[in-house]
Amino acid sequence: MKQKKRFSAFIMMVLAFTVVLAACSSNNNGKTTETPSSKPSNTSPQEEAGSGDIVPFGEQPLEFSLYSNYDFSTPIGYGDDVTSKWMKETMKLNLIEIGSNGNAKQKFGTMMAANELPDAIMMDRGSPEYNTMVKNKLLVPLDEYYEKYPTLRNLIDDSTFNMLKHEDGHIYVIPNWFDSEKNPYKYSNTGWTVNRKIYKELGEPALATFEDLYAYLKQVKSKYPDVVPLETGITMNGVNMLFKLFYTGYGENRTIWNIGDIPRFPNTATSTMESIFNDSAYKEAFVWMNKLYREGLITQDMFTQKQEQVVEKLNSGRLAMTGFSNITGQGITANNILKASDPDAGYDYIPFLAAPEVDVDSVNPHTFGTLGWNVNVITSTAKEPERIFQFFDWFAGAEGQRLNSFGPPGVLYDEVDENGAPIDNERAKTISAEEKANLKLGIFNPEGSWMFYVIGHHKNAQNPETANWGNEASEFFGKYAKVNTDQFNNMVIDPKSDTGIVQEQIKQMWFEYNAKLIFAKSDQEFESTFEKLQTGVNKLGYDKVLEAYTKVWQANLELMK
Amino acid sequence: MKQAGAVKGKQTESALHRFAAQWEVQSMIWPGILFILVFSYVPMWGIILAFKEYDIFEGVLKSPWVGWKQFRLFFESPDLVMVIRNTIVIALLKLFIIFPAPIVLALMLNEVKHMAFKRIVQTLTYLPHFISWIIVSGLVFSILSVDSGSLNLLLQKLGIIKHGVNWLSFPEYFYGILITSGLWKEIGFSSIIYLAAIVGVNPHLYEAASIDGAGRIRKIFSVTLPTIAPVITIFLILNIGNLLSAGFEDILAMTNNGNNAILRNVSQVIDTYVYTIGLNQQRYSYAIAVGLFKAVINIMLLWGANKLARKVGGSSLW
Amino acid sequence: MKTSGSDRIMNTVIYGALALLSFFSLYPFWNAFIISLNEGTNTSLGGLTFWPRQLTFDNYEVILNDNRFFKATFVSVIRTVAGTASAIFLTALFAYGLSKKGVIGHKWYMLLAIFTMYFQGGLIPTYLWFRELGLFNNIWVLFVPWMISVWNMIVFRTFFKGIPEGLEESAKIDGCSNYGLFFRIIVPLSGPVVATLSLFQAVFFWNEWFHSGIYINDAALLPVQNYLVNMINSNSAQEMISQLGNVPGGAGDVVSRSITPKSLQMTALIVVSLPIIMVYPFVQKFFVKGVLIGSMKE
Repeated sequence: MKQKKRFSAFIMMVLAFTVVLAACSSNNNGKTTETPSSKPSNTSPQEEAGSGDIVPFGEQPLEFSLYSNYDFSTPIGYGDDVTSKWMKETMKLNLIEIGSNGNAKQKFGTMMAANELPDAIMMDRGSPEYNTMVKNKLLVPLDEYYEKYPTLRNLIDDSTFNMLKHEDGHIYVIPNWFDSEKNPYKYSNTGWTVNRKIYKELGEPALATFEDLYAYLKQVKSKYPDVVPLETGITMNGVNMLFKLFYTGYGENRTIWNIGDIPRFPNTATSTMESIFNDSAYKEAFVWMNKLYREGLITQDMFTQKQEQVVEKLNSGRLAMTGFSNITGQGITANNILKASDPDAGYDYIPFLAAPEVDVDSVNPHTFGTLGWNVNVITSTAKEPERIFQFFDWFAGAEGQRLNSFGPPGVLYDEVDENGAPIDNERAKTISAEEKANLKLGIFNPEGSWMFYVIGHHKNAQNPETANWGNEASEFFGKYAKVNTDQFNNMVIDPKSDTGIVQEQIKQMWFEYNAKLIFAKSDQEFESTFEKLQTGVNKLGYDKVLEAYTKVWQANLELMK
Repeated sequence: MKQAGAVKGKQTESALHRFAAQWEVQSMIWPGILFILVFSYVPMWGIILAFKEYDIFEGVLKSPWVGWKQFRLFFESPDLVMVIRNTIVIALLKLFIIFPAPIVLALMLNEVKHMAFKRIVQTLTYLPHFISWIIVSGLVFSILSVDSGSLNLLLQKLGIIKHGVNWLSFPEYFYGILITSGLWKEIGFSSIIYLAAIVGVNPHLYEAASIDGAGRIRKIFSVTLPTIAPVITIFLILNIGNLLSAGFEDILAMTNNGNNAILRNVSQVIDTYVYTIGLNQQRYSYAIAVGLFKAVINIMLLWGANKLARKVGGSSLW
Repeated sequence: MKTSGSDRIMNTVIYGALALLSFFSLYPFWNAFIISLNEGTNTSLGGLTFWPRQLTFDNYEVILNDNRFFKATFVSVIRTVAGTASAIFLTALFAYGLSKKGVIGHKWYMLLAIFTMYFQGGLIPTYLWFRELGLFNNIWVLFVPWMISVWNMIVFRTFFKGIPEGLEESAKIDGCSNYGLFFRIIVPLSGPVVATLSLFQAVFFWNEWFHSGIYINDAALLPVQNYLVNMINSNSAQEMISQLGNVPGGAGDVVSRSITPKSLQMTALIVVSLPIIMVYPFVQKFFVKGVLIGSMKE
């Protein structure tokens, strides 16, 4: 109120300054004064629970603000889609969404600077933001709640739980999209697929090694000049997923857990991080990509295309193979479109490819982290942290996870089967695609647990005819996930530290050389470029970065014991 | 002593007196000054962050002082030469191509006698300003694509090239692509202000020139351009004083947000560099320090350009 | 009017060049327009050039069916109209004062203003200060900080300086004060530049979304650009999430969407830029030659 007054006083002063009568008296056009409209204060009245006893989630109204610390996160309009409307009406939860405005870092910075924390935040685990928040006691320790409410605790493995703890011994996070050793249905969204029609017409040659791949792509190129033999998708953080598919094809512990981070080779024998550039498989992977690029066997636009261009090729069947991220999601629509005009068309997922003499079962293209994608935290500003925890605990269970993709009961299902998978009701069987799209299912997903995969699996199993292609493919690719990456958790170097600055310089150089290696016009050019990369990163101080990572790794291994 | 004091008193009195006599004009200026002071100058203490290591949790006051560290980091950066070079090259290209283009367009429009045609052209060329760089880059990428780009298809059909050219992977084409799209996007919008200036040309001058037997081209050079020269000069000064801001949004979009790393050596300018390596890494103080360095150079350039303009006898900023 | 041979060549060149430029300027807009009218999944097959293949109004329905769209548009209109009128008034007045000769402190005022073009306090200090002023989550923050554009001031001043002094002198003899001069002589004579800078200012207020997003949390106070940016982002967010986090895209897996990010983006482009584009033809009416001369003859 005081601020508002001060502001109106300021406005009045300015107006007093400006509103001066023009001396030719006829011209008397003063500005009309306006008063600032009254503003609601940002704090929301909280209803205090009378007794202090906490009732189960959904019985009493709960309101809290949630901010998601990602550029792409935007308010979904809580209460507008069928799921959040149900949450609002039936479960009495009122969520106040705070948008990142497309620039999460700055939004977060302003909120911190002004000391106006949201009640809960979705953010990266182990990020500098998280660490400093813990250090400054801005997060609520959740140890007690985990004991009191069992759903989450039962879903999280013990070793995972330990890993999620902060170094001070307390747990401040609720993992999001986390997994477990207990989950038999691993999902993964990346793998190789083939265009069924072209594959059939070319006589379904064997596709197991990179040599097979090369021969097949050559064949495609000569018979289908208008088709892109192998599509790589868009570049993310300067690198294509294809690099991962080739590199991991050399088996063993070759695994890249976070695309875009400076790669390194984890030597499990010594538990030290070593230079990936000395690993022959790394070079081999780029030799392959360079070869395919030079001969026009992979998309020539791999560094410049946008998602819509990829989707265009995928949906119109103008490609013979794919090797990119989230084909499991993209492929659903593409399969539907292609099938509509030709029942035999579509995409098929195939086993992972390997280098010659490498056993496909030793290929680890995917890692499975049980820690999940990111975390939700509850801040010290929250008036009722326990009840907020209650909500996440409830949502991680089967009831919440059904909401995540199938919406609330009474819309497309009324009952669930013995495995917790929803059974389609009449409306689900007759609903048009448009009507279904308008329900906006899945847009509200504040928390994901591995129950989601279990329910998805059993839903697919109900009727193979209507099984979701994306889920099937995800499960198929997920079977290859063998390395537990929990040991590589928390590998974040403070960007302001000397090592952090070096790391960023190496990253920039690495991005540039990725492209240069793939674009090299001759073997000599490739060799000299690779040498330059090797010496370049060393000169910048790659060993210092590796050292820092080694430290974190060994500390993690200690924690996991 | 006495005398000196008297003189001094008299001086102040007359300055005050003169000020009071001008109260009307001063009262026009002061609201503007007040707004500038309140909204721009009060928060300007933030500049001190260039000499600190700002930590959002510590706040501005508690963040530690680091002296010239941020500036040193910038000047010691292995990419410094590359970044400065690109900044200057791109800025000069823009100054020599994108700056004069709207003037030429305005002069051309002024030669159009069919009002309807003129208005339609004006409105249509104004449209691209509203298409964001993200969408522009999407269009450019799909036109230049190797797999299915219309430019490659056209050139192949005409027999000029045999295989599709990957236009966006050759650093040598980058400037052409960047400048052309910038030109296309802003030429119509920027020409409006010159059109407004041309309207003010005294028609009698054209008549007089005609009597002297001047052709259309000569009239442009002897009547139109001299009349709008003050406006052109002022914009030129402002542009020179902005030389180190060679671009940001356009460059990020045209390099696919830096993902097209093959262009890094020719596309990274000060502003994009600060963004990728500073802001994006939460090195706020670093970003502020480099911004400060840039502003100092820019303001020196502005001052130089203004001085030059005054010497040549044109208009000046102050 | 005589037309010589060289004249005809010049005309052909000028008309030809302008027509070509107009075509290239219009085409992307036209393309966006047909995409906005085409069914989303059909658009994703590519190859749309001049006409829609599968006409639909779904994309527009998604945007226009939402009440929030109209509320946000209302906010934008208020911002643009009130902001432009007051900013142009204050800036023009400021520039007029500075264009006069012999104003005490004139050089310092100019330097003070120009300095702000180069040195800013940065986002966080500014944010803290605006909060202190009570501007956070307050509709005034949408335009009050932009009352004085130094760039506009410089342009105004340059134009005002070009007005013959004789005009002012004669009016002064008639007993007009400086404010009288400003309203009765300067503004009417500066129709084209006032119109142009008003247009620029209006375009700025209409398009600006970054600051509004920083200073406003309350969805009811957000301008239409923010609304659309948010809508497009949330439509593609699911895809981003599943790519970055190796998360099975909840929505992406279950719903085969007919509204694609691209169609939505193009529809938003049309919906949001059309109103501001339509302002321009009105501005052109002020571009009448000889305003100055007419008044001189009086």
